Amino acid sequence: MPLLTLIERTSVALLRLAPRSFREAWRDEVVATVRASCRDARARRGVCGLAFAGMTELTSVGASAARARLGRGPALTGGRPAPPDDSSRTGARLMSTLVHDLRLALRSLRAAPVVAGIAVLTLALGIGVNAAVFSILDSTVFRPLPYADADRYEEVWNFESASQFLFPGFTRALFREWATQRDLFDRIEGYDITSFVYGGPKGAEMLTGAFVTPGALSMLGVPPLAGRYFADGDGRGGTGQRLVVSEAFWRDALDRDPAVIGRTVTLNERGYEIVGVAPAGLQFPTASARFWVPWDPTAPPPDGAQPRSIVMFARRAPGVTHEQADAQVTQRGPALAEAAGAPAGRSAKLGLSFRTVDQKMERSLYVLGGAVAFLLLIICANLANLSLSRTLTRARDFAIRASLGASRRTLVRETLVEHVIIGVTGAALGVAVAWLALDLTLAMMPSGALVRSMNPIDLDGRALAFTAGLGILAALLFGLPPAWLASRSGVAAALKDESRATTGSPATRRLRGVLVVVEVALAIVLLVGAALMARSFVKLNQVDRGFDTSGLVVLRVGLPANGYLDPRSRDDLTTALIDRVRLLPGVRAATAGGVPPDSSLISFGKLEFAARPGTLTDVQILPIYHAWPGYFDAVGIPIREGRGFEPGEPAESVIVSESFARAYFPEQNAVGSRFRFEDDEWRTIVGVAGEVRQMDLDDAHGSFEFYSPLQSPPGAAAAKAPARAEAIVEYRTIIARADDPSAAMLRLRDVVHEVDPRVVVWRVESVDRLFADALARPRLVLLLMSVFASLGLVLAAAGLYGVLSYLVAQRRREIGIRLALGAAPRQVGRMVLGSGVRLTGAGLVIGVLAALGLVRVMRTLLYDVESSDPVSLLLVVVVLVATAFAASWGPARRAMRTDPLSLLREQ
Amino acid sequence: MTDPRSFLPLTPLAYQVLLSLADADRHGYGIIREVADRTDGVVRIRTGTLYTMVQRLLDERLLEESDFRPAHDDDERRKYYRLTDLGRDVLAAETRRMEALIGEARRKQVLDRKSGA
Repeated sequence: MPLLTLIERTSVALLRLAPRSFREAWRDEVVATVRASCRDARARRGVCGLAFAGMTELTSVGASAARARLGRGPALTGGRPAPPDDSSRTGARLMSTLVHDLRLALRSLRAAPVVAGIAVLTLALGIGVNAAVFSILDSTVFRPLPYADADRYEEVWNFESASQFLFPGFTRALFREWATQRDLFDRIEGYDITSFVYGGPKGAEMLTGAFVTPGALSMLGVPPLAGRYFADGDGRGGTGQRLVVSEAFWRDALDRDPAVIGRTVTLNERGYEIVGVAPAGLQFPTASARFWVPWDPTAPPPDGAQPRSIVMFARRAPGVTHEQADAQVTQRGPALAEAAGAPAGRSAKLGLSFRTVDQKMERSLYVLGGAVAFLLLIICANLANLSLSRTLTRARDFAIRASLGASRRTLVRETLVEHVIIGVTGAALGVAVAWLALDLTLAMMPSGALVRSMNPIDLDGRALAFTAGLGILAALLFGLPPAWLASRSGVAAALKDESRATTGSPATRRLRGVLVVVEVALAIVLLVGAALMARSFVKLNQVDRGFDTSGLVVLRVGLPANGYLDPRSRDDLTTALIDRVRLLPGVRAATAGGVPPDSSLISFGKLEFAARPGTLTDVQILPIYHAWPGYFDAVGIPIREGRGFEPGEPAESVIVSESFARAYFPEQNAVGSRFRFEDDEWRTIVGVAGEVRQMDLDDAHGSFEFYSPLQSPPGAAAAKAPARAEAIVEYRTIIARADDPSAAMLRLRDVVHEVDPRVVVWRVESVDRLFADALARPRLVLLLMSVFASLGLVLAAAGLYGVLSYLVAQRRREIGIRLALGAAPRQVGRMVLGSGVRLTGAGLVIGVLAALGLVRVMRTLLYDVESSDPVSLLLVVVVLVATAFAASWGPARRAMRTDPLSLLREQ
Repeated sequence: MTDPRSFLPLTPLAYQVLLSLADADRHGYGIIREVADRTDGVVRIRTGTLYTMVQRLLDERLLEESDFRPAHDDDERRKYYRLTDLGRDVLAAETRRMEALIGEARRKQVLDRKSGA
């Protein structure tokens, strides 16, 4: 980010200190003026001028905003202030003490600008990353949904007792049964997320929308931006096609049309009248929902689009706890399911909490939060060390001041004020770091990982308060040791023995040693975490996907009802598309069907094998891929036994995965055997295919996939009227392998429209890209952990180096005398290295023990790596010992080169 | 009608801002530049201070937003400010007060003495 943008953004952030009215009135103006002033400075004095102007402007904006918050703007009239009365005298004295302390502290900091600069910068880094991670956690996990009574929302899901399978979405009958349970829930609403074809001015486009029961939007308690939400009576037959659109849709598709209410838009080739616009904050049920279509389950419209199933979204009655509701839902589930005609064994449970982001994402965020907290602790330990070394050189100063009558309290207070200044400055700069870190992290976040967060992710007041608090806390953490030391400065001791004053007391030396040990231990925990993520990521990347993904491209198209009601016409189109794609330059093969890791159908149920009639397996969850003749050759999935699908394949033919065949036919050849899902049609196994991996590479599920023919069998029933009047009757996926996938992807859209312009192109994507998306979360966590761990390592090394250097400086005289008395330089070097090894060793032992305990929380994030993985541990130990050795080497060499003669001459 | 003298004496900052708008309508940065140029950089108003002061002056109705836009403005969103009649009266009253003060100083020949003498 250019410096100027950073300055502008920081000024916006700082303005949050001001009252809202001031901020809203002046934000644009302030930013424009800061920009103009900074540009001016840059034009006149270059980057340095820009940096200086930026700093002074930001200080001014921050200070003025804070003063405006306190109601203390600049004075207009310069009249004499009223004489202070008695009660304000204490305040005035406090104020003057504070001003005095501040002045003293600033002077002291200016005396050592490098030390102060390093302290402020490292602290800004630590506080910034903490604030960034905090604001993500805050908006996704900590903060309740931005809706009325959000803590009482629940979802009721299906529960398959045999398989323990929990899934959302009720049939209309089941939903209506549940809607009578008014003693548990005082509001019972539902939704279904669906894609719609939006007929916009730029052609047909697939957009995500949702069916909602008429009361669902108003229940959230967020008033509409314009118009109204749905009311009773909407979403029935004959009420017209009504629609509420999101702020995003109103902005992007309707150009913020002020006369939007009453306007008609085309969805699935039907006209819908807009009755309301929802504000940007209303992200229901997902952030991607662009509009809402009403649907009344008690009297659904006989024509028009229908939801596939309806997710029950309800508000607990006042006084009913989550646990009570859960127990009641589980208890009433079977009877209600039976009454609604659901399959046997079906019950219900409260669904995963409405607010949860993906569980692994949440766990990842916590792990990252822990990592940045550790990083900040390391930074604090380092700074404490740094300021200790300064305090020691000032011990005499302290001693003299104490002898002149400065109380111990005054000395401690002054030292603390100095550190709080560093802490607060660090926190202010940390805001800028947090902006950057947040931008970067959100850009790398896997799409969809945060869709359910619903709260906007930014540096809001809470995050800023957190940052400020962190700055002060950090200042106390690294300021207390030196302050404590200042309080102990004995006058007589310091003045009597000058050499003691510069070598520091044994207590100080011990304290500094402890700080280094703590740093090393914390760094080890970070390193172990990063090493585990790295090992896990490497293993994930090496997972055999089961087929060659290179150059593989998928093209997903929606076939409109208009022209493709007959399944055979869909097959004809598929053939035409495959033939046309094959002709593209550089395309080596083309076929149709689902391909991992993209969505397959999921089927679940108990299996029955023809060889053992009447015996049912446990409930199985099986992914199904539909495959076109020639699919296996084109995709590169090997056929181990039997054959692939051929043209005119009967619908009952099925090809199973190797693991499926091994599990159910351990003794014999699976080909030719028959099985079925309970009470379903029999299927005949015609082939056994090699294993492929699904979407969740680290998921053990889904290795039992099987394949079913995509092509309609000869003599299949001709045109069946569709059950639901939807614009799209079927989605199909064309697969192509190309020498240059990106070039092929550019052409694919055109190819589809050359064959039939009515066909909707949903998406074009490379399979490698889809697999990369599946790895986005572990990759992000690995990247961030590695960055934090490396920083931790460098800081710990710097701490060790500092302490050892100081040790050598302190003991120069002793070393000189030893050398003069005949000690070999090697022995002296060994002594210094020995100190380094002792400190590192202690940190190592503590760190490894702590790591073994702490990284256990990462277990669910790891793939095929134990959290006590010895390889990772060994790696960390080696890296750390090598780093410690490198950090000790310089001070040791300096000790070895001490010239005793010159040293003695100095005396 | 508010008595302009009720605002006296003005703080130097308030006086500078009012003075900068005496001959032309300006936007925020224009005020900063005008004051800096006129005083050879001795008085340098920072952004935060400026807008809290402008807010004060608007609240007291000494300033108001102006419709004025120069032909070649690079940023249309900028707000311009101008003195209200009250603002002009206050500026004049303060100037008169200082003029009187300086007159007294002159009579006592404060300026004739050589510094350090």
